[in-house]
Amino acid sequence: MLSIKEIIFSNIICFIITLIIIPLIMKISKKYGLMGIDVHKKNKPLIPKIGGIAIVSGVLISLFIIEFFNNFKNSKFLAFIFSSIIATIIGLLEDIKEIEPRLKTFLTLLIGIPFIFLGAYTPYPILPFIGKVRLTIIYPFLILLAFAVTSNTANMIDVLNGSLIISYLIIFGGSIITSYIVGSIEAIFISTLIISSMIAFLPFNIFPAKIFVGNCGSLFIGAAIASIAIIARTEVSLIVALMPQILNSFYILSSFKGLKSGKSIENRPIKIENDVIKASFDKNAPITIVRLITARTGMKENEVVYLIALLSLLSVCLSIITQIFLIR
Amino acid sequence: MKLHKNKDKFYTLLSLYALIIIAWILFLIALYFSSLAITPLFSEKKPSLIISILQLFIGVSIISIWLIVWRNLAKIWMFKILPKKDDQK
Repeated sequence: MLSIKEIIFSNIICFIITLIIIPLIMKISKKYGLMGIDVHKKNKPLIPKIGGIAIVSGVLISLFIIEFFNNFKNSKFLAFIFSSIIATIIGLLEDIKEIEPRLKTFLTLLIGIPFIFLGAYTPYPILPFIGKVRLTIIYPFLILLAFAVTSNTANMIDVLNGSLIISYLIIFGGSIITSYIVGSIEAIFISTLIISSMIAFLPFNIFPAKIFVGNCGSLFIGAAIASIAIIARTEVSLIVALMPQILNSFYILSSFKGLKSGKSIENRPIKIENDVIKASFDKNAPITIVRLITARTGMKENEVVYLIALLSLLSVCLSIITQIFLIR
Repeated sequence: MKLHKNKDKFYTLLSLYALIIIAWILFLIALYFSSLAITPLFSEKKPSLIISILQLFIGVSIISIWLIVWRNLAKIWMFKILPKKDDQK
């Protein structure tokens, strides 16, 4: 059982490690040419794109220290660590050399394997209206699917400066509350670590970004939220909390009629005029969350991110309502 | 001009809030019906593979219907509710 002192100590360590690693990652990215174009800016600047490594390092090193002092007894923490490493490696491969979309989706199915091998799950999810259900056979398959969905969903919302970090800060904040309701100290602890790391990272990623999260960071963050839902058994409230993000990724996939790279799409959902994002009214363009937000009026990038955050805030409130009132 | 833009932003936010709340209610309804469909199966003492596959099939079908309805709602929001009347010309 973790003490309050351990939780506070780990969070401080996590915050400091993330802050220390960010400048190093910026240097490494520049040295090895791991730079991404900030497409929503007029001058199209090149930005270091593997910033997510700083978040992953902060979270995993501090969690590793805690596990080291507890003799690696907690299988849930171990599963989280291994899953995070797999997600980060897949993301890093994508950052270094673009992976074919179908292969990438297949690879993200592998992120959940440590949870299955270490048995770090309870195959009795609690559903609204009927309570606990037994899914002993299909639950492991659902774990694989859940990791693929959440990691790709996080990946697809990372389109504007700070959009991923700000919206997921709110989602992880909500996951602390839902985990507290169900009494899962492990899930609360992981959520606080990720929040500490993301708070350290946010000033560098917010508009105008000095560093991108990258695929390595977005896949890790998406995998982390699935891990928390599995550990705390808050699967249904997680789906509610992620509704704007799921909506975004589902619209993109259904518009593309399959798995394709976003860069290969001819009908762009938005257009940019003088740093203002405007929705396209092309019927064949995918309906993304950014397109919906800018459908009535053009907005600057930071204004769109602010609205995405407000949408996440509503969905997190709905997830808490679901957890408190509908799940017995 | 700024006040006008703020009004538009507020309208956008409220409209999208309405869309998310509708999607949430539909999700709960979908879960309720899938629960009704699969609850009798839980009375079995030993879960069989066929029953599990059936559970998965029912669950996936209902969630798929939810997603398709939600997608069509978003289309209505995108082309009818959110834009100003002269925007799409």
